[in-house]
Amino acid sequence: MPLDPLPWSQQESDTELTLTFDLAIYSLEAIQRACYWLTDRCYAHIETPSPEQARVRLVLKNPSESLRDLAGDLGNRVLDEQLRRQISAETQAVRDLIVAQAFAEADLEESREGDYNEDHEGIGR
Amino acid sequence: MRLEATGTAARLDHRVIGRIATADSPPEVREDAVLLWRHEDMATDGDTEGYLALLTPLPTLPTWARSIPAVTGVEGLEHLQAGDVVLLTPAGFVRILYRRHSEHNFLLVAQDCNSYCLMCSQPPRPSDDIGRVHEHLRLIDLVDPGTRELGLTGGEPTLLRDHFLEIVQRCKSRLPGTALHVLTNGRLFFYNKFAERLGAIGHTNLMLGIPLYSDVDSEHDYVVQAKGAFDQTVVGLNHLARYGVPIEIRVVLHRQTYQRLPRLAEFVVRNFPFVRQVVLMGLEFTGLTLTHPDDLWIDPAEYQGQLREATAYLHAAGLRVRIYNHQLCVLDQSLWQFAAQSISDWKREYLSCCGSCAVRSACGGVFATSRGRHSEHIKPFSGTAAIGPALISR
Amino acid sequence: MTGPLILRQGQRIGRQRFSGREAFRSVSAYYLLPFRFERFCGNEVLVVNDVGEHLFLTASDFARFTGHELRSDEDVYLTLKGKHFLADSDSLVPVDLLAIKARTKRAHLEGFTKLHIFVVTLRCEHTCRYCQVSRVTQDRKRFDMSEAIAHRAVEFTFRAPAERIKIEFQGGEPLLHFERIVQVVREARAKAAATGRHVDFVVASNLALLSDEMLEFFQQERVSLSMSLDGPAFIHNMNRPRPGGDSHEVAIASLTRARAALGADAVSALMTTTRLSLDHPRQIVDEYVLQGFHSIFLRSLTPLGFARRTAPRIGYDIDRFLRFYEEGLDRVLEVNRGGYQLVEVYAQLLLTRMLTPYSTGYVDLQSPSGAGIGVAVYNYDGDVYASDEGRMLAEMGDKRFRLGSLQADSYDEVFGGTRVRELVESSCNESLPGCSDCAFQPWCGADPVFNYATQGDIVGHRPDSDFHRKNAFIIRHLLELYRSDEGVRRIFWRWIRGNTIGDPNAESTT
Repeated sequence: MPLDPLPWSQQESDTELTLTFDLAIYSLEAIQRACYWLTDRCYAHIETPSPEQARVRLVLKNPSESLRDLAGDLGNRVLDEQLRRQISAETQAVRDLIVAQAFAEADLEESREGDYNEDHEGIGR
Repeated sequence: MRLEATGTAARLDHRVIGRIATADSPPEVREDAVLLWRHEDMATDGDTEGYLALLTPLPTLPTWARSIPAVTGVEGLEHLQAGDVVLLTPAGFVRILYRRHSEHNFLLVAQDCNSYCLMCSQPPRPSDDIGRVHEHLRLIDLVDPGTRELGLTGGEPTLLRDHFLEIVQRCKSRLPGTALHVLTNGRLFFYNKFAERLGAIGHTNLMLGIPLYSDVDSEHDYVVQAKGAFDQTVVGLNHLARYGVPIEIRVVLHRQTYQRLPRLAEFVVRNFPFVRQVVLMGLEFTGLTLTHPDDLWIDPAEYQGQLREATAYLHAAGLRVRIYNHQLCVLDQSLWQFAAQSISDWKREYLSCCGSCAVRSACGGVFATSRGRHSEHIKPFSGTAAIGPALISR
Repeated sequence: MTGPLILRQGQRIGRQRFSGREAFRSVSAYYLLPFRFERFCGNEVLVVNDVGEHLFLTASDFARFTGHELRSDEDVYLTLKGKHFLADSDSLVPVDLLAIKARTKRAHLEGFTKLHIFVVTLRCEHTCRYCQVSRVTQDRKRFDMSEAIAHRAVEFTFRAPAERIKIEFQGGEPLLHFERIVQVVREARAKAAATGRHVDFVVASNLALLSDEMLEFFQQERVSLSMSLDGPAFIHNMNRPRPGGDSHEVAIASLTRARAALGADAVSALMTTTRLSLDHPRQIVDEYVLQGFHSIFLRSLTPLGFARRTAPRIGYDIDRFLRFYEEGLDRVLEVNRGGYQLVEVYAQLLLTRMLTPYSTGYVDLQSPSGAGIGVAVYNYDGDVYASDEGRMLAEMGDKRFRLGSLQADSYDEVFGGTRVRELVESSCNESLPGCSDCAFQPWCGADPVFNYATQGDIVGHRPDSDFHRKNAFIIRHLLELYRSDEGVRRIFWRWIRGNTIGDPNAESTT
């Protein structure tokens, strides 16, 4: 019974398939991380046949599992890993600030060390 | 119950604060005392030697009483007792500052405030708050050290800054056994030193009641009408915690605050796990509320869902919860164990239908000051109604 | 906004001008605060921030949230803001609060090593099928801890600055070397008094040898007992053979005597789950109820020691264990609903990490792992190990987790050496492969010794890791239970706050 592959994957055999990713859209890091999570189900190999492309070959460990599911899971996982990279990049600076503050002895803002009578922040109006 | 009245002053050229005493008091009592002379004392031929002043509901004084400062014709203060402390002014104004046998005594130490809450029950006004500090200190000296609890309120007491610290210190020295409950917006504790100095006083029976109206800055700032207030209060809370000052979070429930109440509960548990208790309060329909009632008023029966959710969560997380100013008939019975008889005796009343209610004695009643605005769902419990778990009085 | 107006009650009140909500909202666009996410079925996304606060979003709200498309007047926006997933002003208060919460979550690091395990002897008179201790039989005294080694171990123990120290006696069967227990307790009490600290003691024992003399000593010194109870007799006896075959009967008899002498709260029980156990989760829970215990730890078996050699007979795969756990937890909840207080310890630990700002003292659910820093094991021969399991590996010939020697090394060489540092560096799950992006990271932990024993290296390979699969499953399950039912929420919160097993920050790893 031939397996029904997803349109963007190429079935090589009953247990093997290839997916090609456009590196202008998908980062290599996202692809690697997504593959990492599937290594309990398959063997993975990544190549970059050109600077614009990454090719992922997957071989099922358990032949009775679905190649279609594997391809679909990888594709979706890459998208989520992409998002994770974006979130991580966006939040890196504030995360560093939080960690630095967590270790710091001093108060975060100098204004808090101010004189409550002089009230430079104008809190007491 | 009235706490103020006006009579006719004679020989009174400055404000006098003194303890109420009866005739024939010993000299050491008289030097801080205001002699209370009532109709039933008429037969007494007394002397006024050593008293600060005389106070009487009667329109005229006997001859032996015409040499000391006095206020006559003061009506409505029949409940005055020895040990109470009063203020007399040259205009003949009399205010009861402290009642020895009441559970609800407070010092109003500031008229001014740096917030402007939508529902403020004591609207701020510019006043010579600093000039009056010595009077508050004097009052503290006259309060019975056996008093269980004393409130410190305003306006915003911390605007007195070092004088605020002075007042707390005086309470510690003179009234070490009296619990001091300060109502403050906590904003000035943004300055770490202020919190440090308060902690350094070492008052062992102190609690700051600090309002927080939302888990989100913009919502809280809107309710207190001051941009930046949330941030300042939050920083203040952490500074106070650093120095071990006990804190109670207060939330007034009204149309602008009830919706996010469960989120606020989570915010308190995750960010301020050190608070001693959370107090959820019904709205007093007075002060600034009167200027825009429809923005604020909501029948408490309508927010029981949020109140239940928030209370259950806080309680489950181990925080002490109290619900103030709600009638038992309006509260879900599961919440009765958190309800306190919080309305001060002098402004508490019940509706006529409450006369037959089986749980009236445990219920906190309604605000006399709310001018009849209360829930539509107030109704008596019949004698056979199952009364929920033990109710607590404050 | 106008300034305050003079108002007096009873007089005419002028119209007030209050500013609307818009005046207090930030005009700046929002930015993301650090968080991780995981997709759940039913089109939901779980988001978890760095201090373990969480929220379920619809997939579309999540997409708009990460795409910076949320409007500042939306409910979901406000909730994300209140829970520190986004911020929208240049106020530093969110950073401040998150930093304070980050410190609170790591408060267990303060004081360094709090749990000190003394393996006072390797001798034992049982022959438990799964025994990870590789015990030798009773009459080989050279497997006892000497007085000198015990003394040095106490010295090392109190080098840790912790205010509250817990000393746990293990074996073999520690009661076979009772005199050593006495010595350590006395010395430790003196040391604690001299340094203004508090010390607690627990003896992990099968209780079969509990004499009146021992009970009297334990009662005087307020020593707790931790006994093994695998379930009803047919499971317990099968798992724990004893000459006479009456292991269960003996254990219960000793339990009764111990409770009578020390009080019910002084004795707790631990089970070990074998393949036989897996078919009977409900009976095991019921046995704990029958014997009057108020906590049960449904824990899995690490394949070490004898367990590894007998694995085909007693071992099981992780999926079977998880089905066992689910059913067992279900029964525990049922018992609670019926009015009997019973805490499932592993759930309690996870729930504390998920729902409160606090950390716990359980070393396998910490980042970095508590192995070598939160717990230390002093073996009968003077060798110091990073954990129970590390010591068991050594008995099998692999001393990978030996930190040093009480006799040959200084305290700094042992606890500041390369072994400890390596363990710490490779068990911060914020940066472990797989863990660093996992939504459950702030709630989970790391177990480098387990990784090494099962996968060959201390960092471990997440997709194949049973540690990962166990925690991912149980955390998900607890989340679903918590969301589903108010009754369950109440029970869970009672567990989190309850004191049925004592201070969770002093929890033992066994």
